[in-house]
Amino acid sequence: MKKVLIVDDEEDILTSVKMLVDDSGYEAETVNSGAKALKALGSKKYDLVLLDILMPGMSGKEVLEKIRADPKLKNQKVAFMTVVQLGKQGEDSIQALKPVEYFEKPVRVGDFRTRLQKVLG
Amino acid sequence: MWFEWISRPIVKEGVTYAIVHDITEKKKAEEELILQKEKAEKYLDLAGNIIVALNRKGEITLLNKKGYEILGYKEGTLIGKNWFDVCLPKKMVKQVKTVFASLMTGKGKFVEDYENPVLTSGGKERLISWHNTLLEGVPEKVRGVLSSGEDITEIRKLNEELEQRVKKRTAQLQKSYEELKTLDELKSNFLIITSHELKTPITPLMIQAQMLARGDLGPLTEKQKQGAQIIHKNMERLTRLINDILDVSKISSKVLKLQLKKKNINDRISEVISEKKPQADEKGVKINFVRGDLPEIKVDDFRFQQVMVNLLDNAVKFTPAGGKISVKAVGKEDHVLVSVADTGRGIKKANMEKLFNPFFQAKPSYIEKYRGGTGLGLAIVRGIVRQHGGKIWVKSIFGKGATFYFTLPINPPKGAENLNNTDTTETKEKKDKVQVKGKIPIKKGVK
Repeated sequence: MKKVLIVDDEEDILTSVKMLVDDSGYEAETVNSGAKALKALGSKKYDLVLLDILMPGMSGKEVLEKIRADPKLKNQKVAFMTVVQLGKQGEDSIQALKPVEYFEKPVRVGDFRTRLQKVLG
Repeated sequence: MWFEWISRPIVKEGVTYAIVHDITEKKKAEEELILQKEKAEKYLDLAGNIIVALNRKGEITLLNKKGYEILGYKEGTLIGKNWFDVCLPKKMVKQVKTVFASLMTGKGKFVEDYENPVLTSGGKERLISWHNTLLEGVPEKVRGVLSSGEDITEIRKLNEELEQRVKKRTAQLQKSYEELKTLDELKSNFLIITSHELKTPITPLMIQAQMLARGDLGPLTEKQKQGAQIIHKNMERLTRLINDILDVSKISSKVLKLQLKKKNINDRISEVISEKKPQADEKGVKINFVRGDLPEIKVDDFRFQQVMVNLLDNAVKFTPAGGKISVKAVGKEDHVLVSVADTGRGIKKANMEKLFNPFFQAKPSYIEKYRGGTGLGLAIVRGIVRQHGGKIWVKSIFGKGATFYFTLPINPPKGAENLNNTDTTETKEKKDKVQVKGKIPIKKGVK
């Protein structure tokens, strides 16, 4: 079963997105900070990281920068999931970090599932 | 006639010899000299500056009326007095005397212009701007000094006051500018934080309501399902409202950012129409699109889509069953012209301008019938179009439908990417980026 790591500092969002991902036929794990996400990625392989952007401490963008700078993780699939409206093109600096998808919160369940399947294959 | 007699009696001879000189000319010359001197003194008295002459010892040999006036002495009383002892503030007498003495020996460096205070009879100091000339003589090389001085006490005081005022004002302006800048940043932060704060709790609510309604969390009774659907529907509505309010705030606070990319908008219009078709079909309204021969334009794809969605939403909403919506895109020399025409009830002339104001909705009965909008859609549309450097307008005959037109230039004007193309906005832009980086202090649980 494909594994998804969900990173968000809001417990209710973590729980709800985990329910949604699990229910879509994947195995979801959750962490509530960027630092914990990097730690988890260092010890385990994930098929996708669902990453919040605005978090206290390390932001999602900083987390992805660290992932891309790490030779072992640089090809890790990461999708942003955020309330920041970036539009279809997304902000250039964020695009440069090559996220595989960009989910805008609040998500629509049907649309989220379709896009998640597309990303995970 | 003037004569000079020189006589000598010679007693022995009993006569007196006399030599008579005609000195009329000499006398005339003397009188002339006196007249000239008086005239010169009158001129000196007329002068608006102090004019003072000192001999080698520093004694006053000439001081005009203005000099006496400024120094506060009775005219004529200072002749022969030592200038430095009488007319200079005590603290500087010694130093000035030394400089003067060295000047009189022809060794010191002569300074033509300088500023120096004088001491009045009343003990007050006046600041004088001096202009000096050395009086040359024989056998001494230097005979004294002649100086003309302008009383600049008041001017200097005014200047200093003015400088102080300018400094104070500059400081005030700087303070106001800083305050405005802070306020601007606060406003920008407020928008982002508000957006985050409102959407964060909605996210789990939406997921749970949708999963419940879909039966993902286990089978529900019809009533439970209906309840979950109502929650979901209204969460959607709330989300739309929050997004609209944030967009209007961004537009009015001039912090809306555009990401301009070259694009042919035909395909995007087709896509939006396809998305709206089910909604129109359900209502029995047809949508027709005439693709134009369009040049590529620099446009923010997401915002353009928002413009089309809002215009089509309105058109579908206000067109009754059996009606038609015609969308047309035309390429012009330096812009594209897009129109959305409907066969709805149209807009009264009085409402045409107000239509684009935030929260404008036509009269209440109308709202009753077509409720559901936030009244922000057209304000957002106008904001986006204008920021691209385009124009938007509406033509309508009440009762016979309305056509909304907007233009988008091929090349938006410089600075279009930021509505408020000023330094402050640049700061704001940077701030935005910083915020995306997560550098704003977001406290856990308070975010």
